[in-house]
Amino acid sequence: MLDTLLQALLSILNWQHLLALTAGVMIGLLVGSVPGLSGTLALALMVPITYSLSLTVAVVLLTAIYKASTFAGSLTSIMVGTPGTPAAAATLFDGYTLKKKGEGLKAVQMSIFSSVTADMLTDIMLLVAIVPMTALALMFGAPEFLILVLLALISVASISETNTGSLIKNLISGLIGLFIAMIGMEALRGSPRYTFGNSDLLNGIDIMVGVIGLLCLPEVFIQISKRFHKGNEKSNASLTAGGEKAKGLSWKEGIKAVPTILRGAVVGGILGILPGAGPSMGAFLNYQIEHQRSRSRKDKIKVGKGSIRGVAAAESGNSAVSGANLLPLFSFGIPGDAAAAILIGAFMIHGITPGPNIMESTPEIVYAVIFSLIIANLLLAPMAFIYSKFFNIIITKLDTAILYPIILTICLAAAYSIRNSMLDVALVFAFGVAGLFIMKAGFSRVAIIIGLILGGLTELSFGQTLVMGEGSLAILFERPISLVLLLLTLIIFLIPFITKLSQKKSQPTSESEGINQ
Amino acid sequence: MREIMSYLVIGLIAVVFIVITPAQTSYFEPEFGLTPRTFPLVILWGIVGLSCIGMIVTVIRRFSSRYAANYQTDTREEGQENDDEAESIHFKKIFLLSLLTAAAVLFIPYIGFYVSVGIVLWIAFAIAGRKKWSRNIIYSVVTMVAIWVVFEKVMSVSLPKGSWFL
Repeated sequence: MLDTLLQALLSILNWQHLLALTAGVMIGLLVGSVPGLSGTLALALMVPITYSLSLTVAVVLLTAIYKASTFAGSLTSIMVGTPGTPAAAATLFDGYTLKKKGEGLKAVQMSIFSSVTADMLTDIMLLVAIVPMTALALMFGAPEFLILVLLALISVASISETNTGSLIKNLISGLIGLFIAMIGMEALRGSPRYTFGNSDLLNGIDIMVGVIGLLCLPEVFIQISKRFHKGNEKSNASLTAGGEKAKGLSWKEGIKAVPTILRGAVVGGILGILPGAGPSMGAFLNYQIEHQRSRSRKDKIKVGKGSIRGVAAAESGNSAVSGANLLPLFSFGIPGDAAAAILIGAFMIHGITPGPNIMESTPEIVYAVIFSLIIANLLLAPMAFIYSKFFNIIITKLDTAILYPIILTICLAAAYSIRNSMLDVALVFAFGVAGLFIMKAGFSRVAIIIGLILGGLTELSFGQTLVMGEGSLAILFERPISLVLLLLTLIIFLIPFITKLSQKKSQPTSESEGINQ
Repeated sequence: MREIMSYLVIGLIAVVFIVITPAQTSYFEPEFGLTPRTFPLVILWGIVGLSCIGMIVTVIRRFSSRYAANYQTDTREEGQENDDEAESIHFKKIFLLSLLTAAAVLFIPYIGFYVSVGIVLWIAFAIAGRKKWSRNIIYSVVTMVAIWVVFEKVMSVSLPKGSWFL
């Protein structure tokens, strides 16, 4: 095995692969940082270009694009308040709040640090333990997946964007998202629902439509109106506060976030090996865990109110998924998400079919791809740092009166490019207007997005669990992994209450004594 | 009152969807208790139920004088930052911008994406506070050219040209 690993590493270390990696990271950063343009779109556009390249160069280029675009979505999320990708929606809470406080640079640096660290850990895990991880993935069936999906769904209850929000409003918001996900073809039988006779709606409502409409457009509308109201003042999009030099991430803050990042790597790693669970689910699940932990800790700034740990949780959770996502692709030939499906296409174009036999027939290719993921990460850290500085200069130099109308135009163009459909543009607009009312009424837009992401998965895994249990949900308690997951879920929710109780019993602590995170 | 209205509107929308569900979904024999209508109906009834709970909780809170006093102080302290931010938002301008965007979306199939959204962009610059119309035209044209290059040439995504120009 060591020979194969060495051979794979040496095959990657040549100028073609390194050039492909650099180009891939650059393209991914550029595309991911434009609101509405996802890494999947970039991959789909790049596939025809890879026809003339060798298999490893092509796959290396595509994986680098995917990795960098997953990270880059957080840049616009933090700096402009409009997530570049659905996975970056969880970063919006704390990242954008930090930017408003003048700590945008710190948030961006934490985003880079947590993304690269968590992703690197799952890549190394994939490299050394691809066979045991395959066995673990096989042990996950519909009941286990259902518990994971439900755990992510429950996170909507605690995610409140405004001070007028409440548990009831968050739950209603999550249910609205779930209902929007019901539009289109039903997951189990394929019958149409709520399409109103429109064939474009048969494929349902794309998550990106929801993200652009609910998260980007209201922010654009509000910023444009604010700009006019305030008069001719200069951009407030700077990473700095009040003209002071922006504070970067300190070593202490970085080290304190390590446990959060490690949790993100584990959560993202487990979710990544399961087909269907994408980076968004990883981000929200890890964010939820951090949010619960924040309640029980003595943090001065709680997660959700501009905490650096919140950024670390969301970013580590989504980035860790992208490496582990390749496991179902290599082991079973099943794409973990849309981006992995495009990668399967690239493999097949070059005459290799991913599946159970790939580790026996061409293990050097699998290891070469994993090594390329690791090198892409090493390249991503400095490149993302330089790019974020460059990105910040553009955002800072541009007046908001120019920046936000341009973002509005990009959002509309990106909405059309999702499926080349005018219906998506109209839906983005409708969601945008609805998003304004939702904000005003104190409902949670992000909870709607979580519901939209998980709606189809919930229905499918619930249906499959019922089929497996022959109509009974008792199967959830009969399988060892699902039982462990259920217990873990219970523990996650009980920890804050137990800690609060023990804190009350021991000594009352004032908030000012807490950790400044 | 706004709280109750928001719950009422959401609840009513859910009721409308419950009513139209039989017409908008196909009927299948239940398999393990599941039909294509099961999940949507569970969700919609959930929204209706939570809206009712929300309204009841709001009414109880309002009539509880002890709570009202605490609530006012709490929200005043916590919501200060948000209130300041909300004050700076000009809702008439948001309405105007929304109308403009709606008009752009409606006209895209006829006059194309570039002309329709270009005009909105030009006006949006003015709404955002840039007074020089001639400069705004230049910015709009440059932005639309950049969009054309990125989408049509780099990404091969053809944005609608408009039936009037075909």
